[in-house]
Amino acid sequence: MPALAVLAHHSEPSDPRLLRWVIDTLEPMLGLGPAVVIIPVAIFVVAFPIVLAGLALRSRRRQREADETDGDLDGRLAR
Amino acid sequence: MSAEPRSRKNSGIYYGWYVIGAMFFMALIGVGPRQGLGLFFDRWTDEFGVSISMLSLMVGVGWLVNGIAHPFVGNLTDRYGGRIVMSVSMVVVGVGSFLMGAAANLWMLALVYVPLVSVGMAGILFVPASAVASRWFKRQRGTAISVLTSGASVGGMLMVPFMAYMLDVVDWRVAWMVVGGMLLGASPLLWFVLRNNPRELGLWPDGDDGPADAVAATSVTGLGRQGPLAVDRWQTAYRSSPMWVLTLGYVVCGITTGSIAVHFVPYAVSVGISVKTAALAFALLNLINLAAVLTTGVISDRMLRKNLLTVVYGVRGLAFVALVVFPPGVGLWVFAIVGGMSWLASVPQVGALTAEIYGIQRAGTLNGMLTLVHQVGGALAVFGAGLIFDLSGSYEPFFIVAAATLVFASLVSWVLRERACSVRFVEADSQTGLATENS
Repeated sequence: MPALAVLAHHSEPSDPRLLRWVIDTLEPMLGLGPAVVIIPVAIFVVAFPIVLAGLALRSRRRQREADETDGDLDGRLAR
Repeated sequence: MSAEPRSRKNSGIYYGWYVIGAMFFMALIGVGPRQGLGLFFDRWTDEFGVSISMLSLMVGVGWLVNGIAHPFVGNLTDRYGGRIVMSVSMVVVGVGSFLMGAAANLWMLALVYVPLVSVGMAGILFVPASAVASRWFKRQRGTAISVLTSGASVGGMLMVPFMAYMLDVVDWRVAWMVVGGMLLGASPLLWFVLRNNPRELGLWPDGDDGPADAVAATSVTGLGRQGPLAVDRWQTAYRSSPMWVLTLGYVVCGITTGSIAVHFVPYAVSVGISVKTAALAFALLNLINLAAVLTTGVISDRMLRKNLLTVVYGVRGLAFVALVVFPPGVGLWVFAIVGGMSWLASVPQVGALTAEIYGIQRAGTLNGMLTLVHQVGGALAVFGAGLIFDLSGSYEPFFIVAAATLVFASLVSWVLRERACSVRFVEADSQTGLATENS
């Protein structure tokens, strides 16, 4: 997949001829068909934010729990 | 939402890396609608009966509007925070991409692409993201900005082929609507993850235990000390030399990358190199660039950033020299390898330096101004390189000029007095206003 890279700098639109040629050339070489590219990328694009949000939520919950534990400890020490 | 930062270390991964992950993903998915635009030219010329030059005009206007939008987006980031700016921009690009699929003619296409996609892209990419990353990270700022910057490179590798293959199996309208749906679907999740600064979650930058001293604890932003040149108004930054050093360097950066983005293939063809070879050289350049941007980001947190910026511009200058001194077949590959080492590596350095010299309060606006001049430089260079070719029949004079401007940018970056004006080395006491050297 890295060979399918396009020149990127502040996201200028890429040369359409170049993109088409890169894909047409690599398709027979690597055996890439539409499904081989579309399905994994679609899964990645859908899964990435869901997994990230899940991990972020877990991180925040842990922090909250740690805060509550610290608060309880501080209260006991104060007594 | 705000809470007093805790003075103890939290277990697990520092939350700032989740924020960087969200911005990495925004860059990744956001580049699809912009970089993949060229794939649709054939379909549009057939269906709308318009010429390539008309479509190019639309893209050119979009490029210009995107550049102009950056300072405004940066200003909004400084005022309201990157979370709202980036999330709204993501929705705008998503709606824009969706509506692209419903366009009935070129004018409708342009009316969607220019004000929605082009402006929205300014709010997704590096300007607000660098400002947010600068608030979350101090010691690892270069690393953090380079990780989110690399999202655009990875996006080019994934999203553009994705759109190209979508075109093989569905109508172009459906392809745009799918991409728009992806952007809109991811927006609420990224909104949930993003936070403007660590204080909102009661944390300190870099996941530190707490303030190193009382001065940091009482600083204006509550996020640590500000540099001696920290500004409350962005205009004030232009009264000091570092801003002009960064500006001059970034104009040259725009000149040298913008021209290559458009003229590389025509150059290759003009010297008898096939489009195929040029395409492979392009792919190699981008692959090396991805590794280089991550590596230089990590290295820059351990050395003077201005020295790295000097090297980045210098190395890119050598790449242009290679195009002139080597035979075309060899020069192309040398350019791809040497140029790839420096291509995007300037972005994290400039973003981090801006925040460290002028403070994070106006980092968004200042980065926006820098990106504006970068884009204007790029647009002028695209025109200039074409003009030089038309007049002389060769791109070599332009490459010589480009190499000379890069030597200039390299030297200018080298004279930047980072030790005297960066918060990494000198910090101003927010209480007394006196500058103190960091040990």
